Amino acid sequence: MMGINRLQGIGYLMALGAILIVVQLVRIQTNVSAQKYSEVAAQTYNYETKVITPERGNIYDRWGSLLAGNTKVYEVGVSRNELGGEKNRETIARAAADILGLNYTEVLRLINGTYEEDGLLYVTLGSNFTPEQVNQLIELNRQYEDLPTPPKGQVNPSLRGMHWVPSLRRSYPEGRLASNVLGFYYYGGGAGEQGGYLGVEQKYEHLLAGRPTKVSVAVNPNAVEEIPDVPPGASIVLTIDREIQAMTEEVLDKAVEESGSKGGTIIIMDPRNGDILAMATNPRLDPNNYSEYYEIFPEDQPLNPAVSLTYEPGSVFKVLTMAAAIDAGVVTPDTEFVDTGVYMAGGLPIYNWDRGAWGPQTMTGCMQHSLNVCLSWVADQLGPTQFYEYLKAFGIDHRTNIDLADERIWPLRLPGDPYWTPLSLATNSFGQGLATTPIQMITAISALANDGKMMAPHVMHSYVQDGRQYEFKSIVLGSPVSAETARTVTEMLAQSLEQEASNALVPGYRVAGKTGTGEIAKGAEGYSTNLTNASFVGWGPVDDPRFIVYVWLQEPTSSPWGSVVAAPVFSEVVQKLVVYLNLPPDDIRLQLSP
Amino acid sequence: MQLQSLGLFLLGLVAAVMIAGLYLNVTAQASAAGARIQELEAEKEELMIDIAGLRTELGELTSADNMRRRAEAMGFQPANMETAQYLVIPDYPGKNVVMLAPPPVQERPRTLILPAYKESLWDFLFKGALKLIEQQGGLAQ
Repeated sequence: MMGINRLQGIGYLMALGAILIVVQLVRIQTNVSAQKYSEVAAQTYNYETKVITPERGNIYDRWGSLLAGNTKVYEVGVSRNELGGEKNRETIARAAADILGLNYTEVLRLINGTYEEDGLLYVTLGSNFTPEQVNQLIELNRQYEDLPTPPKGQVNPSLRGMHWVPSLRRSYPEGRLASNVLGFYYYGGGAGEQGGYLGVEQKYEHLLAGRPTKVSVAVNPNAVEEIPDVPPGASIVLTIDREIQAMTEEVLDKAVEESGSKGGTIIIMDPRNGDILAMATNPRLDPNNYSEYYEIFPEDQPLNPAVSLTYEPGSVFKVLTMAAAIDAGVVTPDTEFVDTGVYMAGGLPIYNWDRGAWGPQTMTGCMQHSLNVCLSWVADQLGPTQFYEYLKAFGIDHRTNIDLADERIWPLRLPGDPYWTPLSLATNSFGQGLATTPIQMITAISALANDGKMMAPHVMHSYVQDGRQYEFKSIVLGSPVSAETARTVTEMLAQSLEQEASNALVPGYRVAGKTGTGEIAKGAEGYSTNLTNASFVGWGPVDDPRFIVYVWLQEPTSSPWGSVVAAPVFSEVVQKLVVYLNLPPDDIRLQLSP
Repeated sequence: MQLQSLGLFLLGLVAAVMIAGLYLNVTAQASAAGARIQELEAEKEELMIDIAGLRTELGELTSADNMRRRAEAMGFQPANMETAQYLVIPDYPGKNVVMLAPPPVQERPRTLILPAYKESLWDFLFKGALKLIEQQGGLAQ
């Protein structure tokens, strides 16, 4: 028998050791607990759960100019467990102060904190730093890394532990332009406190925001899997024309300044389909800097008075009263009325704006001279039932449902309601004792510019989602009056402007329109004696209306009258608008028509 | 005999080393590819952020205000009603609202793969049995 020499013994021992290792490996791999722990470890260390927030959809004007997009910003933070000594920390604080504009002491306090104190391993220094600022940090970091090795016992300055992560932030490249229509993106303090606020941003939050998706992302390169594509939020194409909007805002700002008004609104709409081409308001907010909101809009003033602020419109409302009366067959343009200067309604006298008696007038004359006495009589001829039925048909009792957030209305008082009296019928006939928003007024009156059909006002033309563009279909809200009535009233109002040589006239273009000067109710004190709301509504060309413009100046101080301050604004807007719309003067257009 | 055993042992060892080497190579390649995919995913995310940022920057450069300033600097003036001249362009439909994407299309059912190719054996047998029963007048008498 051969003895086992020492070398063989060592060989057998090593082989046994190897076999034991293999056995142990197999045992660990197949053990039930080991498998469980392995799964937990894999789940913990191989994957991390991440919520992918899709890029917020863009907002464009009708020609594709960007009105709201997203811009690259950086979040800068410090990972405490990567930090070195005091010099490293001081260097970071100094860089944060010099480049990011942060407070040196505060940054040092933050990064010197411990996990035990605040439960944070990573502290965020800020989240809206520009790429230029971060480029400076990168350059500084490179300079520190290029420094020669320091002598023993000394350390180089370094930004070790400082991180910058790119992300997107809502941005409005046009600044204040159309900000009342767009609204803004609000970055709140906590989760769920951010999102679109007012305007299109809020109304179409569900489209713009897309669908945030929770995904499990592999950290371990061996377990890597494809991250699912999260489609961006839908982009929206508005009906707004950027150039017309800019022009309208410019005219409005000038008018507000020259008339000493508190604010103003101009809406331009295509009466054929309800497209809002421009909606200008004054004052406006820069949505990139929405923290100024309460400075610009104190005391609950809305961002967009065009849809959110009701007021007593005054005589522009006579257009609806006259249209109702003509449609009901109560009067014709030539019906005569003898204006004695006073009309008794509910036992109280109604006077004209000038307290004058205008004698015999046709209905066209009543509109031309804006006679309250005459219109009170017209409303009486209609009777309250018919009068209010027409107002409801014009949408005065409900929202237009324009696709903008925060549309408000003032409830229309009807016969039988508390506070409705026979006097209400008379005052309502000339736009007092009731309140409407500019969007309600332009929508109602647009029926007269579109053969009696009232189109739903809207600012969204289409939206782009998943690579397809879906168009908004125009909606007919109703036909409050016949096409014949619409044309008759349009002709009456065109004639009345021409006969009084109104400031609203536009050379070369025949337009119809009506001024309005609304008194302002001051609660229990009654109506203000010196403040008014000056308005004008007009449309054209009379034979084939392509635009309707509503002007409202709040509390003008240069003159209280709509005919003096609002009518010229209409004329100025239209003179510029026709160029943008490629609309030739009537004589040329009619020659070109087949 | 001892040499033969040693040879067999070495053969086994070489085979094991080869398998381990192959395994290591494949795993290393997979890891490298995985790491590259992770890098590319991060790059893709950053590129998307860059694209969005550049789009907005372009929007700022071509904003109404900037375009007006640039046009004025080049000697242009805003057109006005008095100076505008109108030309008739036959059959020109006018400017259309921007189309950023094609309109929706009617989704047609996908017919590339016939249902028969997606049937399991069990479905096939079950359907065949049902067909047979129907031909014979149903289950109940």
